[in-house]
Amino acid sequence: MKTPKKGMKLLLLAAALLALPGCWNRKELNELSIATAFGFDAREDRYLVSVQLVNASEIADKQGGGGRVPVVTVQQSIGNTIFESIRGLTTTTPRKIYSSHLRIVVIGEDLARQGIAKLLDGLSRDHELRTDFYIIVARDRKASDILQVLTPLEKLPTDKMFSSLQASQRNWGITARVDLHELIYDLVDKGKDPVLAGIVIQGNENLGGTDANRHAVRPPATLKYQGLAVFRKDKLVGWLDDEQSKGYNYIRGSLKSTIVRLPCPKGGELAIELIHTSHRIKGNIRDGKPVIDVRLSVEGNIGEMECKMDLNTPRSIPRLEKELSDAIEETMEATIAQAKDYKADIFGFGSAIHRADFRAWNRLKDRWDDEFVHLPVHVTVNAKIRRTGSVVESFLERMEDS
Amino acid sequence: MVSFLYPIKKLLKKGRGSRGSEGGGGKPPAPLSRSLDDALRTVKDALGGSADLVIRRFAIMINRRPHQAAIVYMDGLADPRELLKSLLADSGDMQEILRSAEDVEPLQLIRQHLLKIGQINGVSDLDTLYHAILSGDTCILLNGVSEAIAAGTGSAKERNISEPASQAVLRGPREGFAETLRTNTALVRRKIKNPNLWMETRQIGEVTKTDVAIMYIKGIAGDKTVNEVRRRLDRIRIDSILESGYIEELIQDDTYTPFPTIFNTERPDAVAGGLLEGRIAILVDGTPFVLVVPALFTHFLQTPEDYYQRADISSLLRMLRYVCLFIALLGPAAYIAVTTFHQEMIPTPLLLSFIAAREGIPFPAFVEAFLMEITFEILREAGVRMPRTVGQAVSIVGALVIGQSAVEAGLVGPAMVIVVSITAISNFVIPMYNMGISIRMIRFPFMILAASFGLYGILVGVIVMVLHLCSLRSFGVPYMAPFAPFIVEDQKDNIFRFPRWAMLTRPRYFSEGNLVREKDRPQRKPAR
Repeated sequence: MKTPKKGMKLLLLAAALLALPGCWNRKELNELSIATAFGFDAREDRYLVSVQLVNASEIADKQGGGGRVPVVTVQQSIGNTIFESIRGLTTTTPRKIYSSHLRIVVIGEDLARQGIAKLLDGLSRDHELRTDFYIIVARDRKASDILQVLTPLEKLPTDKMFSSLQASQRNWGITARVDLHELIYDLVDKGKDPVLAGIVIQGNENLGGTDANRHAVRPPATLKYQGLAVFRKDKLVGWLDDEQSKGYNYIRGSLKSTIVRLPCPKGGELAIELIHTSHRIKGNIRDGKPVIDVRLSVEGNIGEMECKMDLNTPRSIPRLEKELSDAIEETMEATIAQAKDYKADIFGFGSAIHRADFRAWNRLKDRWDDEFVHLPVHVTVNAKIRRTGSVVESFLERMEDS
Repeated sequence: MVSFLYPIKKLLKKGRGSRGSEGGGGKPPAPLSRSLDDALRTVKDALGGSADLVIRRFAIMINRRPHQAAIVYMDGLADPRELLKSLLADSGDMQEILRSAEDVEPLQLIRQHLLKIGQINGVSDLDTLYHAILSGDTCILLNGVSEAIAAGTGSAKERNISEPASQAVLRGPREGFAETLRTNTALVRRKIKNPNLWMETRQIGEVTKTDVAIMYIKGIAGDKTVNEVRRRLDRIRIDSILESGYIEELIQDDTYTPFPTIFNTERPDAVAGGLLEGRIAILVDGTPFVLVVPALFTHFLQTPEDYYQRADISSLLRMLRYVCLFIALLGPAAYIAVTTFHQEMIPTPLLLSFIAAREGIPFPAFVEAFLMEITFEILREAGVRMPRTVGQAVSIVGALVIGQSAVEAGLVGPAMVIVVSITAISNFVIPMYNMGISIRMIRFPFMILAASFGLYGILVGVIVMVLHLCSLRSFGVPYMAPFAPFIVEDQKDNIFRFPRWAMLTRPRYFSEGNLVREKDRPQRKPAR
């Protein structure tokens, strides 16, 4: 056989390269059913999986469509494992579920109390799933209920849950954005217990999935984030209320901005807007015992003054700063006390000890739950008030006088 | 293994084997007859008694003796008025040729006398005589002499020098080549007034005997390349050369490639620029398109305007052209690949729009793309050939209306229309038409690859294409220079166009030895 010419060689090379893959991944767009949210509940000793699927023709209709058909539909299936349940859904959905665009995973409280580790393995293993979706817990509810609420402002309820979680963590500080990566990391790390945001339905949840929810100016049912779920290992043990959630975020340093209310010396209240926080958790071993130092420095502006206070004197601002740091310290200590109550080290103090002295940690880690309860934590807050907003003195004072 | 393809190759070779019989090519040149009548009859018969052959017999006094003579010319090709004025006296009689002391041949006397005519050649055989007559020369035959005189009098009517239709610029000369070889060489000479600009002519084409000229700057163009051009032109065996495209196909390096390896242009300034770089121009009589060799990939994405506008805008526009190259090549393919195989790469809101757009469309994405592309090609070709009055309206309206109606009928999705339109428009950003059509052709295999194998298929296609491009050569110069091999000095005129004060050297592959353009650096800042 003669040596093939250059062109033949090129053709053979191309043919060889192309023989390697195939068409198996080929999915036309109208064969896809995009899942934007998953919900997991416990049903006896099996799983109830709910999937929120997008109704594509309704979603992209620029004129608003009139809402003939809901933008999402929720399908449910029961199975022994997660994967099995999801595949079981193909008996009811017209197309195969495409989960690459998943944004939110909701876990029902009852399932969370039983333990969440098992279902996370399926989620992390699947090749279609990315790791950028957030995981939240449905408080006193089933996850499937949460998925059935429509929202008036966003076409996709999942978009609302997603962006609300982001915005509230950044600007209010009572939620936590946890994605799959972080959650698994926390589950594996003995020095930190996971924490997930909680979501509730406010209002009449029976009307949540109907048109009424989208057409009324005041929708009957709303999804609202409330509190943080505390886990010990992978089981839900309790909830943190709003103030304590803020404390958690202070300690973790994931709070960018929030409002702190302080009492005025002569009655009334004022609000400080925090604009910057920087935190440091330092673990130490003193006399063979672990000790934690938490240092937080915050900067804030005066957001609102509903009292009579003269800001012009040189003493007023430092006084406010001291009040602010006291208030924040109080919040943080309350959170720590609550966490100790739940016996869950959600702040990562164990990891701090590990970083400080790994030999000591090796000794302590197996009994960390009990050690944590007696762990002394010193909280120091350094607060600075930068600005007073656009005006210095409140006009309220003038109003009273005249 | 691939031997089953060799019989097909043999079939392709067969055409070249048989040599067609040319008019008297192999025989020794037939001499002119001494007898005037014989000669004239032979000429008339050879040209088949063509009505535009003019034979004017007259008597001419030389040394006080009348001689029988005739002028022969082709009406329309030759303009013998100046010649006749020299031969005829004002009164209409033949002017008496000066007596000469020595016994000078009568023909010589006439030659010396015809001072007004610039080109006078002697003709001693019939083939040269025919060629001279058919080139527009007027031939003077004398009874009793077996030689004739061919006087250059060609002045066929030709098109005015106007802006080239295919390559217009905003800034720069608006001259374009015309169809006459002499005019075109003159246009080039006007740009380069240097004695080193040399020109050689040859006739190519057994039947048409078309004049083909090579121009190059001695000392800048490499001798090897010039010799190679000469060699390739001399090896051409074909019956006709009607356009430079024939020559292009016959001398190009590699036939089995969609990419052009020979540059053609209608603009004298582009040709002059190429000559100054050390390249060689091939001018063909009868066409305004001049070939420039060697030609590299980057040349097809450059315009002469890049050198007349500012350096910064030229660089940006060149980069834009490269971007448009990729869009035109891979646009539909990428869309098909991503929406069929890799939906996870699209942001969710966009994906939802796509899905909504494709609801109810019966075809898979590839068929949709294919249909739209074919429709666009049909519209484009039709637009080229339509009469001017109708053409503009139909092509624009056609594109819009057909696109819109197709979307409303549910045959294609609006996203596909956008993709196809952007692709088509990007194709026109490529300045050289021959590269543009190559890209158009290659787009379709890429679409097939994308539909079958997704992004991986596109990648494999790109690899194969790059391998192929890097293996091409244009007259020995690697086609992808200065990209590959990467020549640092030549990057100043590749994707960027560095300012004038930085353009110091010629491209390395064209100018053997004569790299530096000028001795003193051009000024970067004005002298204070």
